[in-house]
Amino acid sequence: MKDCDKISAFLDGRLEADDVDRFEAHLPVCDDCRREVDAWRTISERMRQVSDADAAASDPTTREQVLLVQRAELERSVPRLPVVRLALAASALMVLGALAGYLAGRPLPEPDPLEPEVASGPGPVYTTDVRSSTSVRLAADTIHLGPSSSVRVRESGLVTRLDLARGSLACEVSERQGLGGFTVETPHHSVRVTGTRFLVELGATPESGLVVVAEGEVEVEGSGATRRLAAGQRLGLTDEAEILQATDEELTALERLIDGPSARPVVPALDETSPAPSETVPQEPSEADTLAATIHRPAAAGGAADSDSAESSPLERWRGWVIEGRLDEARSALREHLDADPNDTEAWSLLADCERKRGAWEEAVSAYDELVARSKGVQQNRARFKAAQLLQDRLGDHRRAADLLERYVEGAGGGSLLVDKARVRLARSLTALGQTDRARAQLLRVVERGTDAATVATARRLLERLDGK
Amino acid sequence: MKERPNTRAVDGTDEQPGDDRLMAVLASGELYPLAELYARYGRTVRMTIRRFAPDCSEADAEELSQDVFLALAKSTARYEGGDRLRAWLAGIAVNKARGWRRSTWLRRNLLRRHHRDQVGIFAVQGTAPDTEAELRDELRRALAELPRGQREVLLLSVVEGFTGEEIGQILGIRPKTVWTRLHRARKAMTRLLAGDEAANRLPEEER
Repeated sequence: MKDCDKISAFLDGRLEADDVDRFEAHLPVCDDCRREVDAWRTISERMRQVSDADAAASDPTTREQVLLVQRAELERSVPRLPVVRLALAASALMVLGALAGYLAGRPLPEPDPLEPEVASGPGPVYTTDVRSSTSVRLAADTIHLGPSSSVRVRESGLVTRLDLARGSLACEVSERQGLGGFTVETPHHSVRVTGTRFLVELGATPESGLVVVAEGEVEVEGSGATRRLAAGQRLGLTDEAEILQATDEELTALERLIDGPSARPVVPALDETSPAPSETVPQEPSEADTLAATIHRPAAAGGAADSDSAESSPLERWRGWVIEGRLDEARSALREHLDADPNDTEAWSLLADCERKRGAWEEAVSAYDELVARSKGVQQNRARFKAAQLLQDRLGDHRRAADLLERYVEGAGGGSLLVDKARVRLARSLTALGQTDRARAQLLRVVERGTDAATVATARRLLERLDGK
Repeated sequence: MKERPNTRAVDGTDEQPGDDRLMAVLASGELYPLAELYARYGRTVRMTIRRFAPDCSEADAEELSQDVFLALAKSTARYEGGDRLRAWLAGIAVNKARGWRRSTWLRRNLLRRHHRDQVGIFAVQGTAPDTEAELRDELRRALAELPRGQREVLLLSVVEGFTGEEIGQILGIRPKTVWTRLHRARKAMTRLLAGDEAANRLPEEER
């Protein structure tokens, strides 16, 4: 092979060291090769220079990092079991009044409230980031999108279908009088109404699924059943959940979202000639580069932390520190704060995350212990699960892990992906403790009623291993 | 110019965890490694998306970049270790960008809007001096002349510095195809740009 034939391999960087030396020695004596190599070096260097200048605009920002982790938190558990929270506020009459005139002058489509006809082609998608919320006026209805939310809107005549991919959504739905329909679809549930105000929320964890109705009546469909909720009632979205009374806190959360200051019309109400809404609605007119600048108002419900101020709360600031890796600062700030206010469960939760990130497993577990002791419901159960993970994976303390996981499974009630995963974990710890019969029982539960193929497969494998012993 | 795996902490006292370690922690269910991985490779991912989906807005590019890392979080089981994470992420980015292109193709055709295949690699407006702007335009024009396959291979190789094997992995093509495309792209670029070579070399040497 002549030296000249190696030029491509040389420029590709494919030559062995010896051949590189040989080819470079060839360059001074071969004008053609030298010219070609020089020309290419100039071009490629220029490409890199220009690209470098451009790439600076693509450097990741802290805001993006924070958003990414928050989105991952949400998406990890949401697709399996959503929270649907419904409620009805008092002032629906005003909406109805406006609609009466609207209905009068408008040709009505063939109505079928049960099977809404979805407009052909995908509709506009509205999204909010983690710290903001917005309102969108549809033709006859208004929707209020909570933080970290995304919804696709499909409208066809009076039939409106909203596909909520994540986050929370409060709706003011005009009276359909039996015509048309209004549904909110989540990955597992369908909420159907014909005229009311309500909120749909996808929770951060499967077991936090919830429906709340303040007034009126709403049907919630999912898990193979349809349940009808009356005013003031709530329903957890696990299989065995009972219908209970809604709490004040839940209803307040809804009202805060609906009555928030952020409402702005995207499509003017009752104006059919308006152009379609833009694909994505950024939250604020100008996209700020820092988290603090985009705060619209306190998150009404769901993932983001609360704050009554318009500025970033200390907790949010510390959360940012944890994500940025300023762990020692965050840790001392949180400890100081918790000395003064030991019942701030959000702070305990953040401290646990912080300690975990530092690799201080014992300290993380004790923070979770505090959280378990001071919280209740979903938050308490989640803390159990997280502490159990650390005890199992990092500290090898299967006795405590098994104890926490058993309580977690009891507390979560019903089947969901996370419960299945917890059962598999529990079985592992029980096996480590020599309690193989109890381990087998947990695994059989997963195999029988598992929600997730991969988890069921793991359970099967562990069962085989147990039986092989 | 670009991110390197296993970077050290700035203060030099504390070594940052390597990619393998971060991926192991991510696989265990923790999500915070995503922030660090994003800091390391966010730029590569964003630039790959902008190159493969040049019409994509900055906001969409940001969202797609995040989608890449979310996809990574869901597929930790397939991570094989070694220094392959950057190339793997670029591969996911290519897929996301192609998906975006497919989804916009229909919309664009429905709108019957005439569309030219733009090359977005150097699309960001800067306040560069005129000569820079000219060089940029010239490069953009030359790149736009290349068939897409050649252009993609060229950018991944020259600008991102991926090896032929990595490019094959990212694009799902054989290394031999990579080399062939690279060779053709180089020939074409040299032909398109070499005419101005003498004129352009002078200002570069003066800098």
